[in-house]
Amino acid sequence: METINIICVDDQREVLSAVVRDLAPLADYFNIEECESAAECEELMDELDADGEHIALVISDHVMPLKTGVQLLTEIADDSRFKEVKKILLTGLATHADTIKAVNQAHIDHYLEKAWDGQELLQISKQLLTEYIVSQGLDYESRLAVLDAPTLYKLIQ
Amino acid sequence: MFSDPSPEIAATISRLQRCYFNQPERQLWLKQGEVLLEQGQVNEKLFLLLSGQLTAYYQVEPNGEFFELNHFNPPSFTGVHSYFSGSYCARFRVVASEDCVLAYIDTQVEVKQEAEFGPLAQQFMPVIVNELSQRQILAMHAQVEHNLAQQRAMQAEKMSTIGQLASGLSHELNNALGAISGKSAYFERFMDQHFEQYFPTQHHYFRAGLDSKQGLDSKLVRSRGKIFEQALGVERDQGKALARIFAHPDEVTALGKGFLKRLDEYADYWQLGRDFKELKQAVNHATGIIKSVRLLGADDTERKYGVDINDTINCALDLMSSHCRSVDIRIQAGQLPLLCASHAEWVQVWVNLIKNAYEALLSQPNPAPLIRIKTQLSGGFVQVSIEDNGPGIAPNLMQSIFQPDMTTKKGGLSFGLGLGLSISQRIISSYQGELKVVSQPGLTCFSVFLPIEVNNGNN
Repeated sequence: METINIICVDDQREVLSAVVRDLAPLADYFNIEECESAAECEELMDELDADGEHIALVISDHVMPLKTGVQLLTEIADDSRFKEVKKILLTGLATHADTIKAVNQAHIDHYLEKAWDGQELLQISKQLLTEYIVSQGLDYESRLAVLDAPTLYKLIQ
Repeated sequence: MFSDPSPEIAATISRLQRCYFNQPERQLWLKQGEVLLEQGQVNEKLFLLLSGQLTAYYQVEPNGEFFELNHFNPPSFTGVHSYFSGSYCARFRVVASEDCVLAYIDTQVEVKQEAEFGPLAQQFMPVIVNELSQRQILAMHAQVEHNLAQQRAMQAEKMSTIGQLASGLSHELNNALGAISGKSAYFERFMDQHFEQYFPTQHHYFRAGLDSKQGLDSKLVRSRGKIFEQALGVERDQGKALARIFAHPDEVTALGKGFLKRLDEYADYWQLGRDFKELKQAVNHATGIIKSVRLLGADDTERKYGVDINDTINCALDLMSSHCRSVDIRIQAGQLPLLCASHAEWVQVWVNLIKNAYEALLSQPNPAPLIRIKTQLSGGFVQVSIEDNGPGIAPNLMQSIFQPDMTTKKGGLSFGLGLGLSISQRIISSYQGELKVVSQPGLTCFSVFLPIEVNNGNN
């Protein structure tokens, strides 16, 4: 089975580990990576891409030093290698202007406010992962246990 | 107060004085407090103040309060308007604020040197124009003063609203946090005892997670995980889990093959312990932030004797410690005298200055971010300097950094709302101290100079 990655980005370690914990049910089917900064995420994405691995989903905080989540996700959206990567912005504080940018420039797939609901985050991640797997023509049968059935049904109908 | 007349005006006044204000029968002596003119009453005289001081008052409404307008010192004229406008009616109340000697002319005065200097009004023209321009300057100053006062009042109002909001919010949040930390502590104790009794092996890893240090950052976990992955032939996520718990693959090998078989289970227990630790850290982080927000709107400005500025700096550092993880902060504290001050105000000053330094350091990549704080007693001043090796303040921003609402932080979480430096400066000047800044790339230094004499509680 090819490796499909999920990358979580947050500069606060305890928040980062909480996000990863919420995604734990996916851990047997996807590789979950943690990054503490936008720069680290970009470096990791280059590396994973060079190794020929898939990056299905990036979940990023917005307020981080040096580079914000919206900036990071915009750069991912503008990178031809990562056109299909699904993006979730998970933030406790974003101005109205930031939010508009997130939608128009970073083309985020979902916006979640902190404090988030773990079940909701997991459910949204499942839907987006399902979309990614189908759009990339990857094997969904071996991952049925963690994919979102209604989304899958709609897409392969 | 009117400024001193120019040499030309002074010469005109002295000529006019010789011509018109030298007659002993047209001189007047006033004792301090005596009224020369009453607002709205007839006045047909033009006075020249020879010695003493007069003060003008204006009454806005009948029977209302009199507002002080300005003082007049010799040689200056009083009654210029009523005399030359022909209204012969005093516009202000004029009182002797010191014992005064005045000379005057009235409407019957005989014009002198008319052939050379023209009619009376023309002779007095420079004086009249000077009077007009002086009044205009006064009005302008009053307007500026008025605008500044209004700005200060708005600022104070803004701060007090923020303060009220902050104290209401922090009360509610602290209650919620109290419940979270209390219950999680109970939960942690319960699990600790339960595991110890029934799952001793798992308990070992639970405790290891609970007692783990700050830990590796995500990048190190990834690179070290690869070492474990290769050395032990485990999955990628197992390698990362091992890298979090162990320093070297040999430690894992020493535990025998059975350990690796049950690694996922043990790693779960370790992570559970780690979760409790992080829960505590998150609560501390939140309480720290609440404390600093409260300080922003602190009304605890009562000044008491016995404040050591070094203590207030330490207190500020405690508040900031959860914020400033990645920065090296060094203190060199000198022996300082106790002052009469408000502890909370000074904590706020340091929090603002340290926070600024910290944020400046974060704004650009820096291999060794450093904040150096130094306190010393020197030349009758408590001197505190806060230095950072950040990018420095751009020269074009230097002028405006003390303005409220000036902030270089974009998009970031900013509790100061751009008020930080202006608040600090206001507090410092209320102690008759001074805040100075010098900045160049790689070294920015904010220095506070606090005079001991006015703050030692003896005044």
